[in-house]
Amino acid sequence: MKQICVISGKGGTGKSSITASLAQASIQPSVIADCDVDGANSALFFEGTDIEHTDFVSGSRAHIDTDDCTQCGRCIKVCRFNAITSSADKYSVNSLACEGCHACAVICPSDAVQFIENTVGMIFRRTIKTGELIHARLHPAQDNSGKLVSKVRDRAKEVAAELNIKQIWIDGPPGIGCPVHAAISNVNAAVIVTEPSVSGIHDLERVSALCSHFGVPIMVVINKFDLSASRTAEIEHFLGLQNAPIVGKIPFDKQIPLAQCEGKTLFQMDAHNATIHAIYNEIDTRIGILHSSK
Amino acid sequence: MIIAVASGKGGAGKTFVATHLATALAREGKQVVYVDADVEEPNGHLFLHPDITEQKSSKRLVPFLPSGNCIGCGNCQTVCAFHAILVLGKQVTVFDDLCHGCGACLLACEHNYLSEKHVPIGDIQQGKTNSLSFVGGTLNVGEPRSTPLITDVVQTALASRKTNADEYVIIDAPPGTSCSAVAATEAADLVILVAEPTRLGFHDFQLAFEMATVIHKEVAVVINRADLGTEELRKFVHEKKLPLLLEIPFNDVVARMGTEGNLAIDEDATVAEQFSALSEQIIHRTEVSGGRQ
Ligand code: SF4
Ligand code: SF4
Repeated sequence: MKQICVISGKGGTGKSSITASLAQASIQPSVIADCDVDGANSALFFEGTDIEHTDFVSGSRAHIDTDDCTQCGRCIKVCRFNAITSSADKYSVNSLACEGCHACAVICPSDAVQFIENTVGMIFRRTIKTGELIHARLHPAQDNSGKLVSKVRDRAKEVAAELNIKQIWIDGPPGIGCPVHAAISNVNAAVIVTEPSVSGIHDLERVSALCSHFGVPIMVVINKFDLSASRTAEIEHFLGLQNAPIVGKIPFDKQIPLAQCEGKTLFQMDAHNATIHAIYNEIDTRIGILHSSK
Repeated sequence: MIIAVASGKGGAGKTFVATHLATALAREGKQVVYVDADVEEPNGHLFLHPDITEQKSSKRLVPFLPSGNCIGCGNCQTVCAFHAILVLGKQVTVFDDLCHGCGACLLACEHNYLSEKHVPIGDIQQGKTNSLSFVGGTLNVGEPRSTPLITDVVQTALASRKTNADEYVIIDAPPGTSCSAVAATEAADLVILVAEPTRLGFHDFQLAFEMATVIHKEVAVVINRADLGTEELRKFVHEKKLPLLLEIPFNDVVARMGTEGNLAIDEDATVAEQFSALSEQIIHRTEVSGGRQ
């Protein structure tokens, strides 16, 4: 089974549309794992209804029992996340600030702190034209610790194994923190989507440094490559030094966001269909997408 | 006045709006601090080109066992909710990446054997452009959690203010709706959500709006690439009676501006007018509300 993660450092580079397109370009079914759980939107590209929804519980949040609490103030002192507040007659915990560390419970002489399981988000499964889609939703203001991302990937692997599907396309999260670490760990390749802009190049440098930190091989797609010949050349130069291949270039096209309004991917646009096929083939020649690993 | 510029997803034009609003306010003669709190992929400096005058390292605390006193009771391991500490015999191993620095293990160790040390998580840069002050953070590559650095960046920026009621702090928040976005917007008096009127953009906007509601923030909206897409977003904004501060039509200059790292406000008269109108509205709102801090 091959796992390929599409990332970009920053959002808005057409990452989701490219992930969906690559799955569509394959003649074989695939599982898409939408790991951009804080802003997941792959589901908007694929018609269908979710056949599974599971709550994702991770960690817990403190709750102070007002009957037992003597308002001694020890917990307020030890909580490093300023999650406990006192009002005239009671102590309460701000569950958005609480990290569930249990420090308050350790110090509390009256056993007044209880812990309540924390539902961080939900995971969904949907059967789509290209195979299966596992997507998730992080509830607002929750900690995107990477655990939900790992869970989405685990579910994607289970479903792929069950249905004998050989490829998992991971729509990766933005940034370079935990969720990205969880999305790229142990993948066969990370496809980085970049743009020829000062910020695009800066993000590319950081995200490729992260991949090499984790020993993940990278391949690069330059989106809107014709916006700046000099910046595109700069990207090519940078990647040359890294020995990282460019697997495709997509031109700037005002029609792309318009097509997205109708839920159309790049693959479904006549102007870009061939480019997507070519990108798929480039990745395929490098890692043998449908060949069994090991 | 503290304003956070946020969006449910990257790519909506958050940095574009934040850098241009900060510049436009400065051109109206206001004191402005621009804060780049998107520490995983900071980009504001690429457009504002500040002279960095101060740089400091931001750190977090992690526990360690300084001497061989440990009796191997395992209390610290039992109490750690993040599985960050492991006791084998009388050896204590701390996994820095998993540690939240909560200090629970220190409290659990009855003999006070554990100690804490600082580990660097990123850098905070402070500087100036011709017209405004700049504070930004850069997360170290490989560091898992950005929230502690974001909080440090925002606090540094707020501490740098000169208790001037006329001062504006513009925070460029990280994308998304999770706790890192909350850390960047928490101190704000107003959250400006930047959204695209496309189907995906509207979806992202709703998530961001939900986050702002959960943390009880006042929300205003800027619609970017306003001529692409559908009416859904405008309808929603209208129904919720949210102030729609500005609509920015798709503009080639803006699309190309990113390639060279210039501000479109300097290159395009329409963009300059749009942002001067936006800053006037912000100034007006601040004066009407008596400039809450
Ligand atoms: S569990 Fe930790 S973060 Fe939550 S209230 Fe207690 S001490 Fe604070
Ligand atoms: S400080 Fe908290 S998170 Fe870190 S090892 Fe100790 S108990 Fe675990």
